[in-house]
Amino acid sequence: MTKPQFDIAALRNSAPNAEWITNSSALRAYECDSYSAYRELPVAVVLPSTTDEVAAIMRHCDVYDIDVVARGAGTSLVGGAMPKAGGIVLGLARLNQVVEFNPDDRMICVQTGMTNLMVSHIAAEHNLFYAPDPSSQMACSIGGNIAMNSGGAHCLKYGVTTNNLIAVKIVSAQGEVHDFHVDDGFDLRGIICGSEGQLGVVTEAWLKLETSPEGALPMMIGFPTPEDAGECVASIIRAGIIPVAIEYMDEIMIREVERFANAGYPLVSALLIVEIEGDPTRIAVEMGAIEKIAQKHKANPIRRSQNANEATKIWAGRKAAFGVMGRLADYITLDGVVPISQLAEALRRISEISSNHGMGVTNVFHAGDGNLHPLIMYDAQKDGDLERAEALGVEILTACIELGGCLTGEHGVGIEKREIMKRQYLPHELELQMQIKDIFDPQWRLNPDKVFPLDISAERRS
Amino acid sequence: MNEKQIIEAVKAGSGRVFGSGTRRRGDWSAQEHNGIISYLPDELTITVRAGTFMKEIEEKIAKHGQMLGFEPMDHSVIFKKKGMPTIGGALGVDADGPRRLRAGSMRDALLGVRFVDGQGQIIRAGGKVMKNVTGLDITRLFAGSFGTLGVALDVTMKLLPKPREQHIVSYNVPIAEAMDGLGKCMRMPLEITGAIYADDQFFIRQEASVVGPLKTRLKNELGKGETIDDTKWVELRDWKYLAQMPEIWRVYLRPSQVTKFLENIENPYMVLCGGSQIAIAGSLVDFQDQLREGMFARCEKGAVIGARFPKFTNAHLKLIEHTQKVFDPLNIFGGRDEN
Ligand SMILES: Cc1cc2nc3c(=O)[nH]c(=O)nc-3n(C[C@H](O)[C@H](O)[C@H](O)COP(=O)(O)OP(=O)(O)OC[C@H]3O[C@@H](n4cnc5c(N)ncnc54)[C@H](O)[C@@H]3O)c2cc1C
Repeated sequence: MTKPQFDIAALRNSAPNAEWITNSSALRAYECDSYSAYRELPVAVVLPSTTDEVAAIMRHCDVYDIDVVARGAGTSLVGGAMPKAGGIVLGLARLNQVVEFNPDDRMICVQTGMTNLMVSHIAAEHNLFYAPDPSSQMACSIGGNIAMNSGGAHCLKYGVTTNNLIAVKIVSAQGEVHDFHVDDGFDLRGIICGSEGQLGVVTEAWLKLETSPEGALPMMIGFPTPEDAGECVASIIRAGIIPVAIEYMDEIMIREVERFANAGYPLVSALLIVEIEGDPTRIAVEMGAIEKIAQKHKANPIRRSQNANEATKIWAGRKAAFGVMGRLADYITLDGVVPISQLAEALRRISEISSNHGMGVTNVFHAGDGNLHPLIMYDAQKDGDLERAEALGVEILTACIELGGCLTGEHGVGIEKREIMKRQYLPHELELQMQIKDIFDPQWRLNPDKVFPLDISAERRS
Repeated sequence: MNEKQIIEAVKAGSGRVFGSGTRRRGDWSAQEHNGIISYLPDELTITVRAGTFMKEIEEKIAKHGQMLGFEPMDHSVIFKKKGMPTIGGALGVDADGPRRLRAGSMRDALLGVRFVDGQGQIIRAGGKVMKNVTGLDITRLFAGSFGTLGVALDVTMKLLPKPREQHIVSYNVPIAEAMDGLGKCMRMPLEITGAIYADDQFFIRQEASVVGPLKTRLKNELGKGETIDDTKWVELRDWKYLAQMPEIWRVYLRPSQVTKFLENIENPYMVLCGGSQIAIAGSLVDFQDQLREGMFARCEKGAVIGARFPKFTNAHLKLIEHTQKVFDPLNIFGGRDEN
C-alpha cells in the first residue's frame, strides 16, 4: 500500500528554512525506534523549529496526501515512531526551547522536542522538578512523553504524564493549530495525551512542576522469593504509606546490573528498591514502618541508604537495567499492568509461561503501581526466535488481562501490541476510538498503522 | 433505574431525563443506580456505581484511613440545594477542591469509567489498575464532559491514605503579600496541600505524617498566624464566603498573574488552588478587561452557567461537537446546540 511518490522539492518549499534529510544513508538513523526489530525507511525527514513550520508542512501533506509520523527521540519501545513507507518523519528535536517560565507559577511551557531531563534541570535551579521520569529521560522528549502518556519510577506518588500536563498546543492533520487546556470544560488535552501521535503533532506544552522534597532516600530490601516481594508491596500500600517509588528486580537482573553497573545490590531472589521522601524525621519514621512490614515478609537483607551518594548509585543501577540487558541479548520489553494484590500471582504465571516456552524472562518493574516489565530474551540471529519471543509475550499480556489488568501501563501500543488490542477491547469499543481518530485525522495520515488492529482499520487507511 | 433500564431509556431516546448529574441539566435522576461495588483498601482503589453519594464513599474509606485525593467541594453549598452530591455528578464536572494543587482533580484520581453511550452501548474506558495507556484515553475525556458523552454506570478511583497530621493557619495580609509569600513557600519542602485567599485572609494547610517541624518552618517564613480548625477549612472548600452571590465565575490563570488581575476588581473573590484559579462573584463585565492572553473564565453559578470566555474558536468547537457526536450521534444527552 505504498503511496505514490510525491514531489519532494514542493514539500521542501512548504518549510524552506527547516532542515530536510533525504539522502538514504542519513535516513537510516530514522528507520526505527527502540523497538528495532521492525524498520522502514521514510522518503524524507524534516526537522522544523517552529509551530508555524510544522503547520505549513502538515498543510502541504494534507493537500498532497503524504503520511506523517511525528518523532521525538525515537526511544519508543513499541515501534510508535517507526516511519511509514512512502511517508515522511516529522522530527521535533529542534523545537527545544523554553516558551515561558516563571518559577512562582510552578509550571513551565516548553517546546515538545525538549528532553525530559532538560526540563528537570531547568526546574531544579528553582527547587522544582518535573515528576514523570522515564528511565529514558536523558534522551526522550516531552512530545514523546505526552504521546505515550509516559510514566517512570517516581509516578507512584506524583502520577504519570497526563496528571502533570496542563495544556498543549497541537497542529492537526490539516495544519490547524489548537490550544487545549485541562480546565476547558471538555478535556481534549486529555485525549491528546497518550494518543501515540494519532491525533496531532504536539508542539508546545505547559507542564506542572512539583516542589523538590527536602530529601529522598531509597532503601533496598531483599526477599527469598518473588512472591514474598510481591506481597510486601501490597502490605506497604495497605499500611497507608505511599513511597515515591517501589521498584522490583529479579535475580537475573540483579546479577547483571551488579556485573556492569556495580550498584551494590544484594544477590537475592527478588529485590525491592523503595524510596521515601520528605524531611529527615519523616524519612526515618516511614522507613522504620516499612522495615517492620518487610520483616513480616521474610525480608533479608534490609539496607537503608545513608546519603546522596549511595542513593545515586542505587538509582543508577535501576536506570541502567534495560541497557545492561541490551548488552547481553536481544530482548523485548513488555509493559502489562496487574492489580497490586495480583503481583505475586502474576510473577508466578510469568515464570511458568517462560519455562513452558524454554525462553528466558527477567523482571524489572514499577511494583508500586503493578506495572510489570518482563524482558523476554531472544537471539535475533536465530530464525524464528523473535516470533517465539513475541508469542510468549502475548501469553504474558493475556495473563495480565485475566488478572484484571491491561496490556500496557506506560509504553503504549504502537505496532507491537496493535493486534492484541482485541483482547482488551470489544469491537464497538475499538470502533469508538477509531471514530475519534477520524475527527482529528479524517484521512488517517498521522502515524496510520499504529495502535489499531490492521484488519479493522484497513478501510480507513486505504 | 438499574443498568438495564438505563440502557433501555437511552435507546428510547429519553436520555435527557438523566442529565447525568451535571449542573447544566439538573440532578442525576438515575440515583438508584448506586452502591459500592468493590472497595480494596490494599490496592487503594474503589469501584462504585455512579449514583452513589459522595458522603457514603467518603465515610466508608475514612474507616480505613483513606480519602479521595481530590477533596471535592460540595457544590450544594453555593447552589443552596438539599440534594446530596453523587460521584456521577462529580465526574460530570470533574470536581476539585483545595488539594488540587497537589493531587489534581477527579480526573487525576480516575482509573476507569463504564458508561452507556448515546446508542445504548456499554463502553469500558480505562480499568481498575493504577496505570493504563492501552488505546485512547477516553476516561480523561469523559471526566468533566458534563454528561454529554454518556451515562456513567460505574467509576473506579484511586484513593490516597489520609495524612496523619494537618495544620491550617491563616494570615491577615493583602493579596500581593500573600502571593509573594506563597511563591516562596511553594518552592520549599513545607508539604503545603492547600492555599486559599478569601476575605482578606490567607489560609495555608500543611499535611504530613509528622507536621511539627514543618509548622515551625512555615512560621519562620511567614510569621505567626492564627491556627484554624477543620470546620473553617470545609467552608473554604465549599466557597461559603461566596455562597450568597447569585453569579460566580471561575478564572483560570497563573499564580504570578493573580495580584495584577485583582488590582482593579471590587467584587468579592477567592483565590484558589495556590493562585491558579480565582472565583469571582459578579458578572463577566466586571473582570473581562483583566483577562490577558492564555487566561479564561467559566461561569460556575448564575444564568449563563457553563459559559466560557473567551469563547472557543470555531475550529475548536467543531472538534468538541464532533467528539460528542461520536459518542452520542442522536444528541440524546443534549450536548450540542443544534435543534
Ligand atoms: C532504555 C529505555 C527505558 C525506558 N523507560 C521508560 C520508562 O521508565 N517509562 C516509560 O513510560 N517509558 C519508558 N521508555 C519508553 C520511551 O522512552 C517513552 O515512550 C518516551 O516517552 C518516548 O519518547 P521519545 O521522545 O523517544 O518518542 P518517540 O519514540 O520519538 O515517539 C514515541 C511516539 O510518540 C509520537 N510522538 C513523538 N513526539 C510527538 C509529538 N511532538 N507530537 C505527537 N506525537 C509525538 C511518535 O509518533 C510515536 O508514536 C523507555 C525506553 C527506553 C529505550
